[in-house]
Amino acid sequence: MSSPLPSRTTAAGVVLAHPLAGTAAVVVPALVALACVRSIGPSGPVAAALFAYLAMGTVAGFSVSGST
Amino acid sequence: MLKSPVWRGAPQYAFGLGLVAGGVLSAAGIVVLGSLLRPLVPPALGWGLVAAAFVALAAREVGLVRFAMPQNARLVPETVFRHGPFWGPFEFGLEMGTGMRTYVTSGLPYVVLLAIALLAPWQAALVAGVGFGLGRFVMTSASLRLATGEWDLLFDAYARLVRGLLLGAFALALLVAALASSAPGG
Repeated sequence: MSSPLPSRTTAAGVVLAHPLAGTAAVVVPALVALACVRSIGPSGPVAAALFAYLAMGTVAGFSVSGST
Repeated sequence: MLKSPVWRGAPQYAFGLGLVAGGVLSAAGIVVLGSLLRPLVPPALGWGLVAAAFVALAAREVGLVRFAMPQNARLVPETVFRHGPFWGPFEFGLEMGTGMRTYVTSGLPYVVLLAIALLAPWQAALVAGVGFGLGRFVMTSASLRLATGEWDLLFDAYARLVRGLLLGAFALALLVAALASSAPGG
């Protein structure tokens, strides 16, 4: 595998084309969830839960990448 | 099938829309069915079951243990494309997005399923469904930018690291969900 990425592609294409970048795209929601859980106020836990479930779903969806 | 040039452009996004719709549909169904179990499962027990499932399936992911999980071991039939350039890819995405109409190659969706069934508020269940569709769409969009088979080669080349990152991110999200549910107002 000499060149894993196509020679002509956009920056966004490079980001989306690489499994590690794609993985980062699903890791970010998890980090956002962590930030939310530290937020102050009565809506903090609700927002944190929503982001956490969004992150869980996204990671799970990405994890089945081998099945297409 | 996803490598065909006809997938680029609008059909690709119809497919993505179908993925998200399928994820939401499954999540809605699971939360309804789960509501029948919730009176029997207190939250502490529910989190214990979800944590145990995660540990068992994470061990399976890294090859420490081997056991089979239920799955629909088939491909979504190509006949869905008879519905045209929008509804064909949409239905294909819808069926894949449900997570119940084709192979499931990871254990993490089962943990999400259990968490939604036993613990998630309905809003959280729906966003988990949206996330599932988006997660699958990231992969599809990425693979379209590579030559046939290259995505799989790349994914295999980094499989260990990718799997570790996914398990870590999932564990973090699960922990946040548990902390949020136990916090005042959660």
